[in-house]
Amino acid sequence: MTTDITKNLKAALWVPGLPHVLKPEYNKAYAELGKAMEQAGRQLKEQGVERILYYSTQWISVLGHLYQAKKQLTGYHVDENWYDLIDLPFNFKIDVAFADKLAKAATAQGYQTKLVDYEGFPVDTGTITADRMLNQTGARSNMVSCCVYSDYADTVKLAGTIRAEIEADSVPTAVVIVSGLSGRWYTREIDFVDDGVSDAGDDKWNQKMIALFESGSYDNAEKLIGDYAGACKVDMGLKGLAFLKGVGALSAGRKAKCHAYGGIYGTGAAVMSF
Amino acid sequence: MPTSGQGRIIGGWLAPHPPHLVYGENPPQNEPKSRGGWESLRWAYENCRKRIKEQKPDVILVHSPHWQTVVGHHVTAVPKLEGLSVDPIFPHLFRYKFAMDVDVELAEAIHDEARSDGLIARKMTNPKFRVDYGTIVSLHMMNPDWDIPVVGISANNSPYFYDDNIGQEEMTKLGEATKRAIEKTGRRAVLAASNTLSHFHFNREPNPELPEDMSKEHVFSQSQYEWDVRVIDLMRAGKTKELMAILPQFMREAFAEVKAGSLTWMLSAMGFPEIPATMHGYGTVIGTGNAVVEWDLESRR
Ligand SMILES: [Fe+2]
Repeated sequence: MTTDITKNLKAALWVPGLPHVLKPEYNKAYAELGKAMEQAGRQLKEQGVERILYYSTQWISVLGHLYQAKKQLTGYHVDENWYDLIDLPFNFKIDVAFADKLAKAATAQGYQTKLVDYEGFPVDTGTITADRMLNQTGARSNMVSCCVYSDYADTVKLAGTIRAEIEADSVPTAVVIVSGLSGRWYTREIDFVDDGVSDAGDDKWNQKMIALFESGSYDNAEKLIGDYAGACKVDMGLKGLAFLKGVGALSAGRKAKCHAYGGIYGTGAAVMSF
Repeated sequence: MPTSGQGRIIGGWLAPHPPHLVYGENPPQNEPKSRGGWESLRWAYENCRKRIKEQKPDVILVHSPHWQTVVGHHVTAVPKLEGLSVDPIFPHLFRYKFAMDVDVELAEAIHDEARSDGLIARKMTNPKFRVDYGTIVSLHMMNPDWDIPVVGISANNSPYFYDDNIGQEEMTKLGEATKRAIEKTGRRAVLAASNTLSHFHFNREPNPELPEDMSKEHVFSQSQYEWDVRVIDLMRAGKTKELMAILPQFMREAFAEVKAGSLTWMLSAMGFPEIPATMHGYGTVIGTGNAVVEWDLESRR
């Protein structure tokens, strides 16, 4: 992993949001992805990260952006697709004061925001899975929803408001994008052991984009997003990258590193640090 | 539960699921409280409630776009499901304590019939499963007493993943499988297609201080409204074949939620009946078009 991104932003990660990574015994790629996530978690611990901010493409909103603001967010989650794979009880300590600041900062920029403070709120599978692997110290968390009507540029700008707030206090923070790459699911039943990226073209595209990230060629990568998204049903049109850009993780000279890559039920999954 | 004799579908309802309808009603199960709102739709659902009380079906089946499954068509197949359902999109409006009895025998029969027809089907047997808000809202609006067993059916993502035709073909087959399962298990069943019609909506809450501010509620656009009227008129006229023919265009041009397949599933299960449907009410919810519509199959008997 690389050096601090800014004074308080210690790490920016991209991880898959499917619970299969919690089942290493089912498939080699699941095991590798899971191991890379755990390793990334150890790194966060070493870097003294005290707060993890999640942006998951599985937490969707339509009327602006939502910010999780329940102090002790506990519950029991069962995924609507993978209900017989694993149950996901969860327990998050939310940095409520920070959520409030984030929402206010975005509102000041014209965004529609809402704090979400409800017993039983259905935290998404991806965020729970990521937190299980990454958060090894009981660090506090924040969560920002993925508004489907906020496009790439708009999301860069929104994440800019978050960057400013991360810098405005003194808590060592990590930003974690929970998202997939190519989104071509297997729509038939497969044996987990036979899992992989479902389409050779998707696989090529994923690897090409990862290579661009690894060479720090973010401008070039951005130029290809439209084609990539169109060709490979990319998860939320790679909007997670916009979020990373906004928080400052794609600045000139910074190169990403891909720690693991593979397929989960046909979709592209990667663990990357930026 | 009756398991002998020929079962049948006694009626089907287009039963949209905006959580705003439950919020506007203030039932004890829902934590947030309102001053009302969206009455035209809620009054329409009162007719449905009355019919259900009269008809006393053995089971209500609901196909919901908000249980979206990647691999095949899933059915709830565990005897009891309960918990707190908080809508992830409108958590300030919908935090509902639900408890439902599932007709597992029928669910399993649907699963088996679907499989025998070459569809992928799965039985959801995890008792901790949190039922989606679409299913809950439609069922609450139809029968708030929850004293009739239910079967929840997921919306397979094929209409979104492939194209409209493949998706709707799948739903047609699923409807036929559902019909056979109902007949074989001897149930008198009511179906619910949990779909909004036109689905473009405001991207801001018109009045965040008062979500039920009806002075801010209106159709999203004239063209969307006209689409809804066109579709509803075909339902009212019993022109089901014509309705099915224009659905793909409706989905494209009005972003109609029927794309999820619930309406196609239901009409297919009922044999695409060319009988006039009864329109009980139409209303918009944050700009989307919603109608409560009944197909009374007993009237044919
Ligand atoms: Fe819906």
